[in-house]
Amino acid sequence: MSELLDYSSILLVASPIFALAVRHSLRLAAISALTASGFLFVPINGVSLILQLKGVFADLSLTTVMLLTIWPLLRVNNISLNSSDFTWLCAVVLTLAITLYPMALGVGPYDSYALGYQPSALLTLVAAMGVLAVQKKYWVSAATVVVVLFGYWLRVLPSQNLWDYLLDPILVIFTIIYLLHHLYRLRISRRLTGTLRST
Amino acid sequence: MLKISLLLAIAAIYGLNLLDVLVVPADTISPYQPRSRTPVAESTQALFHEQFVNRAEVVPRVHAPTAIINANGELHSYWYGGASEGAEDVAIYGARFDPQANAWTDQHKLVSPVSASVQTGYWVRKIGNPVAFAHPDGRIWLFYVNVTIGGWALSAINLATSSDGGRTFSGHKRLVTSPFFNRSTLVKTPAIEFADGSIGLPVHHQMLAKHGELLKLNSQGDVVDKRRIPSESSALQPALVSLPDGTLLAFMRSDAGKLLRSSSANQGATWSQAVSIDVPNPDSAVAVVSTSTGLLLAFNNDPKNRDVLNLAHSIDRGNSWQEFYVLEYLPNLHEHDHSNEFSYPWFVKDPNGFYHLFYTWQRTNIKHIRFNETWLEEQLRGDV
Repeated sequence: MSELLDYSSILLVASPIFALAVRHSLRLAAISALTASGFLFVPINGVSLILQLKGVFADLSLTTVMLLTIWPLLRVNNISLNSSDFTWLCAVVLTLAITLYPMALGVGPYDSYALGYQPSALLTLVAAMGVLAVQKKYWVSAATVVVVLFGYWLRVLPSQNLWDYLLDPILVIFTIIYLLHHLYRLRISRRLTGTLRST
Repeated sequence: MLKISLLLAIAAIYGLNLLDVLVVPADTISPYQPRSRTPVAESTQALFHEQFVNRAEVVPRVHAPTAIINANGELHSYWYGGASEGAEDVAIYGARFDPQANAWTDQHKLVSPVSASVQTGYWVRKIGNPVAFAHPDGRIWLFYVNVTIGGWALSAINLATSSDGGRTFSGHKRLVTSPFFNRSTLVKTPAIEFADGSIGLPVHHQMLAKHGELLKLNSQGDVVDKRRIPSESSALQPALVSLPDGTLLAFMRSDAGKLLRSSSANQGATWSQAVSIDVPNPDSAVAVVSTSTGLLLAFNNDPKNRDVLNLAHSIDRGNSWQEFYVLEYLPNLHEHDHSNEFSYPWFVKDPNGFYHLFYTWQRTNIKHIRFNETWLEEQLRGDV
C-alpha cells in the first residue's frame, strides 16, 4: 500500500484525463490515462517525470487520493457526486485548512502543524465529522474519513503527522475553486428563481 | 446496513488510533542527557593548530562545514561545494582526518542532486547545508537541505545514513516537516540526543516569517514532534547547547544586527521568547559548545559583515559574552564586497579533550582549527 502511494502523483495526471475522456468511451479513457501515466516514467535530464511531480507537489493526502480515485470512477456510469455531500466535504476541508495553513506557514509563535503529532483532539474531531457524515448519508465524506483514519493507523504515508493524511495544498486549492463555483451556481439559480417568481 | 457498517468502522479505527496515541505519549520531549564520554586525556601543554580541510582545486566554491567523531574516534567533515552557492552542480563532499599524518585525506563526493533524486524518489534540483550527527547506535546521520523549485525558502530536508563510520551514505529519505508541499524547513546547526533515544534537530522555517524550530526524530529518522521558538525578531539557525542543570539554550542569527537567545526549562517542549543579547550578528550562523568553565561561542563580531570571526566565552548561561580571540579578520574594502567571508562555524569536542572548529574560509576553503583546554584557559586568563 505504501509502495503504491509512492506513485499517487500519477493521479494528478491520470484522473483528469480519464474523467474527461470517459464521456467519449471507456476504452479511450483507459488508454489515454495509461499512456499519460506511462510517459511519467520517461526520464528527462536523468530524472523521471513522476519523480519531478513528487518533488514539486510532495505526497498527496489520502483525502486527495480518495477524491481523485472516486471522481473518474463515478463518471464511468455517469453517476455524479452528491452535490451536498461533496460541498460539505469541501467546506470541512477548507475550515481545517484555515486552521492549519496560516500558522504553519509562519504566522505567529505557534505552529498548528504540531497538533498533528499529538493528534488526540484532531482524531476526535475527524471521527466526529465521520459520524456526522454518516448521519447525513454523505457516503463519500464518511468513506473518506474511514480511509484517512485507517491510513493514519497504518502510517501508509512517510509522515507521522495526521494533518498530512487529511490535507494538502492541491486539495485546498481544489476546494476553494469548487466552493466558489458552487456559490456562483447558487447565486445564478436564486436569480433565475427570483425572475420566474416575478413573471 | 451501510450506515451501521460505516459507524462501526469509524469507531473501531478511531479507537485504534487513540490507543496508539495514548499508549505512546509523544507530547513531552524527554530530558536531555549528554552521552558519557571516554575519560579525557588532557594535555598540559597548550595546543593550537590550523589547516584547510578541502582540496581547493576540486571545486571553486565551498561552504557550510559540518563534522562528527565516529564510534572509532575518527574525525570526519562534510561540506557543500560547486560553481557557486545554489548552482546545480553543487554536491556534498566529505573527508577524513588522519591523525598520524596530521592531515585531511580521502576527499570524495558523497551526494549530488541526481543521486539524491534517485535515492529519495523525489526530484532534487539543488542541495545545500549538510549537518552530520553521530547516532548513539554507531550510525552517522547526514541531513542536508535540498530544493526542487524556488530558492532556499522552499527547501526540504533529506536524511542519509552511514553504517561505515561516515565514509559512504545510503538510504536517503525526505523528512516530512511541513504541510505546504513539505517546504520551508532548513537545517544548519548540530542535532542533540535525548535520554529516550530520540534526536532533537534544530531547524528553521522561512516562508511567511522566519522562526527557529526544534524537530524531534525517532530512531528511524521519522519526525515525531515539532516545536517553534518564539522570537522578538526574525530568527534562523538555532545553535543549541545544554547546561548542567538540563536547561537548553538556543542562540539564533537575526537580521536585526544582534544575536538572539532563548531558553527551555523543559528540554525543548516550550521555549522562552528569544531576545537579543549584546553580541553583534550580521545575519550569520554561530556555533556554541560547553567548556569546563562555561560556554564558548564562535561568531562574526560585526553587525553587518562576515569578514571577522571571533571566539567569546560566557560564564552566566550565555547572557553576556567576553570576546577573547580573533580567529580571522580581513576587512572587506566596501559595503558590497563580500569576498572576505569567514562564516558558518561548527564545533566538535573529541574524547581527548580537543575542540575542533570548522568554518567557511572566503568561500574557497573549509578551515579546521584544533585547540585544547589548556590553550583555551591561557587565552581566557590573557597569558599570551
